Amino acid sequence: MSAPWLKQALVGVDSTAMLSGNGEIDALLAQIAGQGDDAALAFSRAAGAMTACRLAAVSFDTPAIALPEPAAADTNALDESHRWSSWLTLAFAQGPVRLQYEACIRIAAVNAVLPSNLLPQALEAGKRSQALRAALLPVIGHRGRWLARLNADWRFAMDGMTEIDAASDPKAWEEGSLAQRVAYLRQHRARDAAGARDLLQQQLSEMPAKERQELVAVLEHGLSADDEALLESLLKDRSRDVRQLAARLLASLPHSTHAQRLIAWLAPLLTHKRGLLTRSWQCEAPEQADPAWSSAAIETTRPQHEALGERAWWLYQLVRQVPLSWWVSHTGMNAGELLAWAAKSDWKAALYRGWRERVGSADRDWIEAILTARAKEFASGNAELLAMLPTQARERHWPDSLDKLWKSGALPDVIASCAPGETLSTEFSRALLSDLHGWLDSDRLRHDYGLRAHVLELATVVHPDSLANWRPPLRRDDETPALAECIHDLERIVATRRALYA
Amino acid sequence: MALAPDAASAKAAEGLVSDSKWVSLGADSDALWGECKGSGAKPYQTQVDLAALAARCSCPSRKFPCKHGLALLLLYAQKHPRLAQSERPQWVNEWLSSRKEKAEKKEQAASKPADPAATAAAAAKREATRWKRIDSGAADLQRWIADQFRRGLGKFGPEQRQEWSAMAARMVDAQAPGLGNQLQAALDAMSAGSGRYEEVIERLGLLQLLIEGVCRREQLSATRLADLRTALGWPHDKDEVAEHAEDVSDDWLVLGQIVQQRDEKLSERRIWLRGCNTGRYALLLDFAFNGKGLEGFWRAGASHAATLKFYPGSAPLRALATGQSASQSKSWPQLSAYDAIERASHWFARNPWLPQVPLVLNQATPTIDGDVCKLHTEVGVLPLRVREAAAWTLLAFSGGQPIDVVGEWDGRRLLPLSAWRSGDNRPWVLDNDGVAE
Repeated sequence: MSAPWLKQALVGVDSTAMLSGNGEIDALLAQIAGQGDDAALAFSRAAGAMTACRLAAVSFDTPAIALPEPAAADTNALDESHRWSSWLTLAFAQGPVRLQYEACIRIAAVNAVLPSNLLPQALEAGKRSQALRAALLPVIGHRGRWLARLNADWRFAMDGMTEIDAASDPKAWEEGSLAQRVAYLRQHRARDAAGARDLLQQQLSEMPAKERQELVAVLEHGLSADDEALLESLLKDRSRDVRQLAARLLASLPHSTHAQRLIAWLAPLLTHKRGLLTRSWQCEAPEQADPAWSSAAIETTRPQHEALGERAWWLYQLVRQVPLSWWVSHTGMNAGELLAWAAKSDWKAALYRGWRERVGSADRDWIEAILTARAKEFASGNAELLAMLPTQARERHWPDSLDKLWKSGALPDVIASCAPGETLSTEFSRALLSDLHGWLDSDRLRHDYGLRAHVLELATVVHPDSLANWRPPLRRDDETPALAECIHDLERIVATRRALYA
Repeated sequence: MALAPDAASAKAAEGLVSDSKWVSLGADSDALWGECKGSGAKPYQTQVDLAALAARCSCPSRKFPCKHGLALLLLYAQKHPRLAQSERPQWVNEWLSSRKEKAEKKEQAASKPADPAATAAAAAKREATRWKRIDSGAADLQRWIADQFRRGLGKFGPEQRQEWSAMAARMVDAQAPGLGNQLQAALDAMSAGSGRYEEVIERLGLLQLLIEGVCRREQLSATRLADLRTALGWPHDKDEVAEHAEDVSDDWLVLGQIVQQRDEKLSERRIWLRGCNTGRYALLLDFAFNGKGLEGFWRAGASHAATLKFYPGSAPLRALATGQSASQSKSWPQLSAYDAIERASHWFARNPWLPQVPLVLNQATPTIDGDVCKLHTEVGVLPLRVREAAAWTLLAFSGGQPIDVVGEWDGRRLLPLSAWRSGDNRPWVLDNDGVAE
């Protein structure tokens, strides 16, 4: 319908305007107009005639648009009738994310990719959860990546070719996004630490602060004394975050000049008193700020909302850059003893905080000591520490009863300590599951919303072997809808996991 | 599962397929029954008539069959041990016997030798009254449409919306619900914004043509009159159709289907068929109202041998199916897209009041451009009437490769119902929630 028609209709038909169609229909329209009706009635009659004619002329635009290249075939896609397929559909529709992650890992383990009907939901799940993406990308296949190119929300799937692809392509370094460059550098660093460092050094001056920070962080892998020179230079970087990062990395090199400097500043604060019968160590915080500290990324002014006092703040900054091994070698006390000793000191908060920040996955005995100490300063962040331990070692710190875990508030930590894809050990899982059965039978979950949520997550982190003895819980007549839903989801999660490993 | 009115019911039904949900279960050769725990105080009583595959349940769900009925059938299919032969409880007996009674009554009424003259006279009187009402409604509508054009559609606000709704209701009162539906569709298009003004003008124009038809009905041919009646929403009597209709027997391939909620209590199911030998297209149209389920089982891609009786009209599409039996599955028809649109043109040319016509487009490629989903064919590009989620599943299905698509063409957009890949017998099927406005 052409513009004059639309205009008349919108503004109001007021006169017998000669509306035209094209060719033969004009005769008909003239006839209608010539009937001498009211203009509006004539218009509606004419509109009817025009519409009838248009409907009968089915034709479509033929714009000269090139179609996008079709996706390459995925020969290893799971068939829609595969026994996992109904479980996968539910998992991607309803979660939880850990289950989706596990499903993706299992699909990859059988060298398959997702069937095409699940791709849109899986990509949506990946959009919502960053953590899922690492497992999702290898199993979306060519079709998944093809789809991702068409939808802005799914761009994450497009960028990533798997890390291996990205990393071995030098073009990724020259022209890629930041994520791709980080991945490339990480791969390069794993193969050739020095080469990666040189590569980074060449381009440092041109990069914005955020890029510098992310790429310098890659140096943490394979950190060695050779990196010292570069890191020293970064201590004078414009960006505070980069300086702090460089200081932290340098501090973990016990023989670097940086570490030596810090030890030199700290050592005088630690004095050894020799009493008549006992020998003890004392620790004092610095009286004054040393101007030389600024070259080591130590700030003299205390931030506004800092809980520590000014001197404690200085002490803490010193402590956190001194290698833990120095404490042991200097005082002769081991980690546990040092913690106990610090507990009696005036500067306990600063010491504890500093040490906590220094702890890395290599410092097993410090981790164990901190976990056993149960000091209130260490209350939060336990999950991270636990994550640094291997699975078997973690479980020694937990009671193997669900009741105790829940009462002590450790259940969320237990779950959080498992990285996506990790599970608890079989024996621990079995113990927890039998407790869970007890809870279900005794109606423990009825009123506790928070507990129900954790129970579902727990089902995703127990070892798959422990699920072999799962028995469906007894249902009661008086279940609340929320409880029924929880049990339904629980059964779904268990059934899905069992199917994935069957 | 094909009986499920939508995916949500299917999922919910699966959730109920567990022993603990059912307080009691029982079966015999004619029926299944059970009592299911629901959110109310008493359990819901559900029963299924096995012969007709019809379900009835005391739950408040408006879907037919409801999830409880579906779950019962699933348990039956799984040969669940608790569904063993047992005594029929009272409430099952009641329902089954009332069904039998109704069926018997119908038979009786049919076989009773009624006084032909009296029944004919009564029918004629009813018809005349209805036409009078329609005449009056049509006259009002004609005046009203002219008023809208005179005033101009540009000024459209909440007051106007009220007015249009009221007019649509007036048409229903005048026993011309088809007019009311068209007007409601025009109102929906109006509310969607300026992009669809053209559609509004067209719908009003077609309404005007209907009114012309009503005024001149004496001079219309029988088939044209049939078109008019269908468009007015005045259904032809099924039995009359069965007697006088054109019979076509063939192996019918099910192209696709859709169930749409019309309003609170009413849902409409359209099943499109194509005769493998005659190449004839047909539409099976059924309604489900408040408890009466949709009967019959038609899966996209399956073939059924049947005799179809077509309703009268200039472009006969709607038909009644009789003597349906499964037949060997046939391969997808190789049709040229040019022929497809030629056929669609002919249908609309013969009857511009058709709400939609079937289109089978082979070797078509869906694409997404911004938020508009389109289909590229050798005859051009068509806009698709799907929601975003359905568009992505269609795209995932095609992967950029051409696929065979079946849909309903309404003159503006194509509503894709099913799609097929060559060499694959699992089609893409539109989810019932996937239809866009």
